[in-house]
Amino acid sequence: MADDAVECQLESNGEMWDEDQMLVSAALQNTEAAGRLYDKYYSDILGYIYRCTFDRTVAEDLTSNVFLSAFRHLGQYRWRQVPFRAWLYRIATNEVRMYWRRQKRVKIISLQPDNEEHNSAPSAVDSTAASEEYRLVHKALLELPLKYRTVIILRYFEGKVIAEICEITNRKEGTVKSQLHRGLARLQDILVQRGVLPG
Amino acid sequence: MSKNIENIDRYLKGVVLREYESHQHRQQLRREVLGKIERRQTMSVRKRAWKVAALLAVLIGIGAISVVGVNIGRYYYYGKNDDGAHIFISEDRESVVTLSDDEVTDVEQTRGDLEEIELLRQQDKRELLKVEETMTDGTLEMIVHVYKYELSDGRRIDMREGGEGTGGAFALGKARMEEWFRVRKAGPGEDLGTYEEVVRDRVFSFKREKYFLSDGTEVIWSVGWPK
Repeated sequence: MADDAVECQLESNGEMWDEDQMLVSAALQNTEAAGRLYDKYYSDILGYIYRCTFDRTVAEDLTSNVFLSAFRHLGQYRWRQVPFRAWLYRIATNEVRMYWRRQKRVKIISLQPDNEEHNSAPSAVDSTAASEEYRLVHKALLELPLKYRTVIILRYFEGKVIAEICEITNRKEGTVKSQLHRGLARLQDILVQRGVLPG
Repeated sequence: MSKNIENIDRYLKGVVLREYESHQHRQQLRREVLGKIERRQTMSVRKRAWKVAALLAVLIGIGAISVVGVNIGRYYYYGKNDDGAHIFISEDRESVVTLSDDEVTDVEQTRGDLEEIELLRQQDKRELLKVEETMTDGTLEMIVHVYKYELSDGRRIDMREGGEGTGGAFALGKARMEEWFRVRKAGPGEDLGTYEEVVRDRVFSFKREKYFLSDGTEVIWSVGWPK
């Protein structure tokens, strides 16, 4: 059924559409295509948000927000001049940004002694040995401004090239390269101070 | 890459990531996302269908009742529209029934009939009498099913309902729809022959005709009867 819909779209438009565009177009008409689109990106988005937050429960919550929001506004997607993958990552990046903003407010509240312990304990932090190395990096990343943190995670842990990062962050190439360079320099300083990297 | 960040670049490239997967969350969110899309599509089709059915009922005086929509308990009388037709709306506001003035002698009786018909429809106690399909410029504009219902007091009522699978946008609009009815009434269009199709487990024989509106829009109208 979904395959039929995809074929119809191809014929009627007579253009070379990539798979995502076909799926998005078909997803507006049938849930099978929507399911394929969801299956294709669920792991990527959950993984990205997890690497940004390092908290399983938060990652699941934010991933839910991303997909519910994306599919709610799927009809508007075609007007955006970015690939669907980048659009999803953009929504995810915004969700993460809003999450950290909320966390800032929580920190202020948590200055009160009663709340301190509760708010500083993540709900489901990964504690396996395999992730210890990333934990160290993540702790250092948290000391960076969010804009630096985002481009570093996208570049090194999501494997995005500069052009994709530009699409996701909606920044120009020069800006992204500059943020990446400054972010890396600061991250290196932090890791050197902590003895993770040689001075 | 400037020399002062080569170390960190090399280090980050070597960091081993542990992937996180949650099968339970994946399935739960999948159900939620697809459920919302399904509901939205259903509502969209219903809204489109009742607009078509209501327009048809008013414009061509189809002689019986037009209704679409599901899961309705009660109907309410809304009043008359600009054309003098009576409007009934389901409690959930998903279905609108438009009846010409001569079809309604007692509003309360009609309202009760609609509720009984809806009940029969949900139980699928009805017989498909006719199928009409309209295509404009190659796009399926609408499907109308005509069903026969038998009420508990023995009366028979034929209903025109938006058929399943009406996927295209309702593109004609009221003015061109009126023209289309006039053109169709004026005489037969170009005969495109007949074909057979299975609808609701019965073989229907369709006769297809081609018409053109004044703006060049091609309308292909197919009418199917059970064999």
